[in-house]
Amino acid sequence: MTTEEEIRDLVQRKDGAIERLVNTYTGPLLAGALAIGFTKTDAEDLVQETFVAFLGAMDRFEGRSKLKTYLFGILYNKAKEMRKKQRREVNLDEVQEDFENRFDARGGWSTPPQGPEESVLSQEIRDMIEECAKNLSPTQSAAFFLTEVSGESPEEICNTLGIRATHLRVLLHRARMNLRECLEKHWGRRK
Amino acid sequence: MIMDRWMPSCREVAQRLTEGGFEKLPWHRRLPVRMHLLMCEHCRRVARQIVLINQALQRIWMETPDPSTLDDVKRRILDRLRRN
Repeated sequence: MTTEEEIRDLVQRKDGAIERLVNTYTGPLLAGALAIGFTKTDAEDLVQETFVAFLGAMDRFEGRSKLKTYLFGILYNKAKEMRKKQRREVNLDEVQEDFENRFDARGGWSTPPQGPEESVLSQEIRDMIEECAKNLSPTQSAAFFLTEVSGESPEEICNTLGIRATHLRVLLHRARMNLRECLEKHWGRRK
Repeated sequence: MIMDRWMPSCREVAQRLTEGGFEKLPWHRRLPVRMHLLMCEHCRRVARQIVLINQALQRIWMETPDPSTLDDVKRRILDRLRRN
């Protein structure tokens, strides 16, 4: 079914249209909400609110993006509203400073990178990365989630998050650097 | 040395590998990074770790929520939407 058909059925309140909407998009939206750090209960509320907001203003959807991308945009903006009072974004400059400190004036490693040398993902490494991902800022997680899991194009992601392509690259770079540094620390601390 | 002029530094390689989209770059932009990786064990280690990080998060995020939880969530959301 195309996006236009989905929307037409919803506007005409056809039988099963809302069920189809919820069945199709709850999974990806819930995974996204969990990825940006919401608890299960809050994530469910957020997905619910996303559907309510979408159904209340379907006429604003112009069909320029995929419905999934559009819904994720609503979810992300709602998440930002909820977060405003809860948690401040990590200071991104500090992360960049950590990165720069790893290199000497000629751009070589000042302290060689440590951490796992494996090329196969073990349960141990996976657990470490899962723990490390909790330290990502919501925007970093959202950018990472949309790129690696949701498989959206960079243009769609920029639209959804309301950022420019250069900002997206910086977010992804910082997210991955952050995770790598964290993995290195965890690895060094193991028995 | 002539190599220095076109061979990216470790810092540039780390930047390239972490910002993503490397595989989609044209070959002449990928080649210097690949050459660097052939010669630099530190950056090879980082490159492998970046792949592990991408794989781990893909799996972790794709596996949540589990299917039985998801069905419950869908049911609750539908109930509430119908009541509205």
